[in-house]
Amino acid sequence: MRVSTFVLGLFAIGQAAFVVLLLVTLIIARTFRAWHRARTRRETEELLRAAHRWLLRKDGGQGFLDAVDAADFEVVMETLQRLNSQVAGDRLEFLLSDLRDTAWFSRVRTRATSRLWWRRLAAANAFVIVAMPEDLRVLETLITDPNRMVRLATVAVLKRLQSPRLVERTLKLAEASRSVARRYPLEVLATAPGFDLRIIAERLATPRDPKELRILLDLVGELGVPSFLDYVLAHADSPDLEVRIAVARTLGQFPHPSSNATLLSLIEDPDWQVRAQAAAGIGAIGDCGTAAALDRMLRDPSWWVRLRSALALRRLGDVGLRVLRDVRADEDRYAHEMAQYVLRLDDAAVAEYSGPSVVDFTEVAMAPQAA
Amino acid sequence: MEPLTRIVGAGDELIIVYFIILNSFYALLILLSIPELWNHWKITHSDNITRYISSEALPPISVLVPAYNMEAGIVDSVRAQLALQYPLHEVIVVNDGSRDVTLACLHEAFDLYEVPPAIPQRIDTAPVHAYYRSRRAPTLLLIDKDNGGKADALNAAINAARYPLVVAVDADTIMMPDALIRLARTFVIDSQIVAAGGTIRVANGCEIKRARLTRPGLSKRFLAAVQVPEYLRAFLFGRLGWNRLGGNLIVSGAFGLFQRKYLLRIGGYSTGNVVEDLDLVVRLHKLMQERGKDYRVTFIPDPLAWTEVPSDLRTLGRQRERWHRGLVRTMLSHWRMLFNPRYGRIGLITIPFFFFGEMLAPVVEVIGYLLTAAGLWTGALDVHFALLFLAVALGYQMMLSIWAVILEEATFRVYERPRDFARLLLYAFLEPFGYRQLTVLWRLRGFFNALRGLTHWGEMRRHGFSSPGDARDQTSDSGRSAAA
Repeated sequence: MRVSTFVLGLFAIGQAAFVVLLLVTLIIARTFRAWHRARTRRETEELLRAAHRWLLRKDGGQGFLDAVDAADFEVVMETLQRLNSQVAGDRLEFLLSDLRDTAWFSRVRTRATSRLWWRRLAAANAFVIVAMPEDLRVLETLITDPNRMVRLATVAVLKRLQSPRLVERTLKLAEASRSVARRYPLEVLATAPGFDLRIIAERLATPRDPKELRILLDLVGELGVPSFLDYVLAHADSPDLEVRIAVARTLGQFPHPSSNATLLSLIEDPDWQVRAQAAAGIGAIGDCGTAAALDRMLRDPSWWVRLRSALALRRLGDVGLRVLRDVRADEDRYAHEMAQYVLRLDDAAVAEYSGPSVVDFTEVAMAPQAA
Repeated sequence: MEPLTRIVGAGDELIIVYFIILNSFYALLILLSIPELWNHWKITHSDNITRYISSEALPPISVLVPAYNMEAGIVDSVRAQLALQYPLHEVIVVNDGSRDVTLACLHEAFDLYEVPPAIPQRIDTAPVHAYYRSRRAPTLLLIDKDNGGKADALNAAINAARYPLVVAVDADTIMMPDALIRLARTFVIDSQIVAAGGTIRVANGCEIKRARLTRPGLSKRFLAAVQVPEYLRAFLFGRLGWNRLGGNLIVSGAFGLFQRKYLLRIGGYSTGNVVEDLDLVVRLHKLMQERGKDYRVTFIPDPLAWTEVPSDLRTLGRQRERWHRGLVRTMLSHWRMLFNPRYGRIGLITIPFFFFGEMLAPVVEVIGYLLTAAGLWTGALDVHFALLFLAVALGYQMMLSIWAVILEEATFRVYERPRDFARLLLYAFLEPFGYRQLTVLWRLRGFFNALRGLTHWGEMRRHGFSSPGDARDQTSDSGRSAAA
């Protein structure tokens, strides 16, 4: 017992010492933070003042570059992000080009090859603002970084630089992601200016597997470039369920008679997910000639198909409204119920319901289907 | 006397061994939480969140808000949810058979109109009276149903949700405007995540205007303020540590984001359990492990939500009793997962820890106090040793709380005012004296009530956030109770 008491006593003393140490650390940390915050504020103000002078053409930007060299890395990043979101054009590009000669940009380059992922992430974020074609080699490394955060940050460089290799890597990143996480790289690609569409066309012509094809179709839908329509139509009878869903979703973005014809054939598909997506596509195109087909689809055994068909009818205007009003409860209770439901929605709700392809039918497919 | 002395001595030794094992595990959680918190802190500071705000790439989210007798704060709360910064989200409010004028308040504020009940009932719930949409807020859906408890209300909302991610939020929980983006970002970064929880903080004492937190602060009431280090401890190192161990078992019911398809697969929330969030996550783990899927249930520290904690002994006692009762029921109903290698780390580490370290802890602690008294009485225990042991045990608890305060200070620094910070430290020191023993007694009551099969929620007295001005420790009562 005496030994135990001695050990416990030692433990208690150690514990007390540790608590004191923690308290001292806390006090030091608070003091340091107050000092650091004051410094950061000072540097930010100085940078913003210099940026303001440059914006007002009071100097050619040298003052800003000097302030950049004197400021903390993160302070410069924040200011550049702010500047980049508010100013555009050749003047900004000249300034960004001059930034490459600063000590700050040397730090960006060093960070890009750092062993620590957060430093590489900081570098990727910096390149999103200042990258030039000569940085492509570094960017190709960053976009294949082991850390997903770094890869995602680098993808955004596509909004600034065009590179087939970066596009390839971004598509690979999308392929490697599950559906919930896939949208970001695709969205960046779809909004990237001057992006070489031949890469997509080549891959669409000879897709490696259904997964790649689905991603390409989603991207084509986001891009909405008419020359891709034939590629999309070619896959309408794919044996892969998710490819057919993707075709139906994508065709909704192409208001063209051949899209409509294909969508009308897809509403006969044996899988309800394809039928529901086809109905949504028909609604997005809004051709009044499809009202009779949508009327038939209101009797579909799937709740989703009925909902999508009723919403599509609402979007056809008077023709669709008449069809919805004429659905009788004694003929088909479920069709009547859905028609009444959608008729009661106000226009804002219909628009909200029929918005961008917010329901991923491949995910819905996992849940039991209700009548 | 001799046999009794021996029994008491052996009991004391067992308690000491239990204490050493349990606290070593806590120390391990602390160690594991450091790199985890570092990673998250770096993400928070290095990742440009505006990139996601301006993009439509984030997966759309359905915000599920169960409400029972929330007339005082429901309108502000729903407005705050609708105004969250997020590219695409809908808000589904479920009026769970309120006996006050919650429904009328919502009608008036949002110009609701009834739509026919054309929503698939994938999960059975108490009867739904009507569905309403709003002319003023097209992304709002209101479900009016019979009272069935919080879990049932959430199930009705899951049925009606249209988006792949759903977040369950208590109507009296205040989310920070960027909380959804911060939570959803993790689904973009890591595609194996099936559920993610954010940090819940104590709202008592904060300045709140129209369901928006305008300035964090500490409550002037001891009972509310002493829970702040407790929450910090639970979130900042407990759950972060579990992230590293691969098995977070709690995604708070007041603020957790889930992939809807998995909730549908497990049949939604269990209505028979009074801590539906814990039960849900255990079943989610079970499903994923049984199907051999790669997945993660994670905790993210930077998305913040604030909730009002009980500030009177009676309500706090009921809450803690209910939490422990729910824990016991969940552990007992999933006992087959205990030490079962089929469930991986969850079966071999997490469930055993929650079973022996959390569920049995109050029983062991009370036995420990009794044995110490008996040991001193029979002479089996040396007085110096007993006092030293008590000092070490309480000191350890204090150290954990201070460590949590340090983690908070080193990273998110919510409590900027020196006075608040000093008081936070003071409460971390005071917590082990009296407050801890009270919580042990409440949890012990919960343990025995669970064995008796009690399933009631008990009335939760809340003071609410809704009156103007709001430095939130007033005595008015919005009276939220969720009777099942």
